[in-house]
Amino acid sequence: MTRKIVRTAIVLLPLCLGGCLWADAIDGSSWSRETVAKIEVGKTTRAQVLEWLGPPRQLLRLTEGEALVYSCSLEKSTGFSIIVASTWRNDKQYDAVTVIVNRDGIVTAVGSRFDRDKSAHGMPW
Amino acid sequence: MKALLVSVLFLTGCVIPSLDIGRRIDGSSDWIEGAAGLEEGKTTLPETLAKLGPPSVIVRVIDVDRLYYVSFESRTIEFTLSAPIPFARQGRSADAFYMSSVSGRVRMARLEFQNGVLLHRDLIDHGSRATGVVGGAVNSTAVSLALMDDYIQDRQRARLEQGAEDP
Repeated sequence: MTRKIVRTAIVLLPLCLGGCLWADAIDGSSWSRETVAKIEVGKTTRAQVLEWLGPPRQLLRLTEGEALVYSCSLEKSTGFSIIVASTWRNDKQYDAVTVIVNRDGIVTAVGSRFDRDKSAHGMPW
Repeated sequence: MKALLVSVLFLTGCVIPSLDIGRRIDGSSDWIEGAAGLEEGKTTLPETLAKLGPPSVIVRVIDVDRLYYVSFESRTIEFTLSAPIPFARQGRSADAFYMSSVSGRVRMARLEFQNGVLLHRDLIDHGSRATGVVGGAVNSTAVSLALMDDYIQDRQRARLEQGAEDP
């Protein structure tokens, strides 16, 4: 009986050794919904956008003006390892704002998304 | 006795089993429904941004502004039984058994605007699955679409362009 327990323990031992991962990685600085809501098409100026949101991640020339691109991502990683087996899950979601400014420096379009908080830890299934 | 032999093989590293189960999610696909409702020759750029939110990539290509909306999800299940074979002065390893299943789903919309009005709209909702059960080899498939190639090139172009700008 004792020998059987020892054998079972030897077989199961690797399964008991392992580790886990629980990490949040933020890329970029975020901003509030209220700040983004202040941006009005046809009224807000390029200077005001820069003052409220800071320097954009990307500044791109378009056919009729330019695009100020702001984004901040949150990647939640979860993993478990038991030597012979491992599970992992990476969930990356974004807060983002794109502001289109015409040649006169006036905002002509704005789009925003606030999905960062939808990023979640969990199992892969 | 058999159980002891198997235990010794596993514990000494003569046979190494490995099971890997994973999932990767990148971006939300909430924009899909809105993209389906866009009308060529009618919908404007401001309407699109208000409806779909900010794009993943925005770039100017000659006389059009191109917007990409992209979301990606993949799942992986992989089981390997490998047996390292010791040789003098060099270590070699062979997968005695390999079984994998990788599935991915890419959702993408490419929207081209000319003079602020939607000129072209391309939507893809592409799912792929690669399954392999082999000894020592890997079976895989790759998504090869012209739209994906354009997306990768335009994303790179946007990155290069931002490097030349200073807000």
